[in-house]
Amino acid sequence: MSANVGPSGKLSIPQSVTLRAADTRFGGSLSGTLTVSYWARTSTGGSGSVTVQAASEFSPAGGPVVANVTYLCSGATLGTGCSGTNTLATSTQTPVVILPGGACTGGGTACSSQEPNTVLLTLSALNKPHYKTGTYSTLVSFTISTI
Amino acid sequence: MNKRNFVLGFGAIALGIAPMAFADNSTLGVTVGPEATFASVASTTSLTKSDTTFGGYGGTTNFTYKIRTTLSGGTGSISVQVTSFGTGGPAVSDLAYTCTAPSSGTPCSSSTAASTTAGTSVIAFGEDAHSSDAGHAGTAVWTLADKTLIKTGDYSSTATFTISAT
Repeated sequence: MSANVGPSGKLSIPQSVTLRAADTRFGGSLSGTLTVSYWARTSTGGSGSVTVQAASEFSPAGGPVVANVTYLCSGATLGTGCSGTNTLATSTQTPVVILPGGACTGGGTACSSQEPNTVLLTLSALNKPHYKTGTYSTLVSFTISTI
Repeated sequence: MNKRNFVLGFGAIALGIAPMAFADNSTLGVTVGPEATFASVASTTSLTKSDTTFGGYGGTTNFTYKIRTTLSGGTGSISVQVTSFGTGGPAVSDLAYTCTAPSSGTPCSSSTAASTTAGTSVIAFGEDAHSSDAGHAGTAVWTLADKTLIKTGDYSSTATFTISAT
């Protein structure tokens, strides 16, 4: 009996995240956090990534646009979280975590001890007076790819 | 039967070594509510006069504000309340102001008497009011009657401007 174990990955994210102002005086950004849980196994010499992309612009119009939304990645427990401030986009997948070859979730030893692995995204959008009051939403898609 | 199982198993292995991707979705929401703040308010305003024949004093307080009121049914306001000038000084009842404001709000109408007991209107805002992102500028233009009974000297009053939005 033999088994050829290949690269694999899955992830889990909250159904929704809402960006809100911390005060009512334009004192900061509209912000919120989201934890991405992921399981990964990459081949020796392979690689992987977790990325995010907005499916469309916010609906309805009148509020922020996707290009106004930035995010920071912190505390990735496997791989390297995105560095610096990243901008969400509808046209391209932007990085969340870069996975090295030979990475694997759980079990310790050669793998990470955490299961699942997690990374915290802190999302922000500028809070501009010209936005109309209301609630705006869009769908964001997180993708894990492994080789 | 054994041979068939082997073929299926090989297929699974072939799929297993291929690059793989898995995706999941989340709804990203943004809640935008009414907000208001002063970007700046002049820290001092000097009331001056150009004559020595009991003409009135005058001065202007400049301020910049940011505001966003609720799309439907929202309101907002900028008001001012002053303290007395002190013993021997001008009376607040002789202090009044007019206002200027950009299109985001409606300035106080004509001359408004200052008050030490309540905020009086400087600018009123209706629903779905928005300043520019950098803020809008407004002014309170003060007038103070000069009366013979005022003792000579320097006097001061604190004018507190308040902004709110719903």
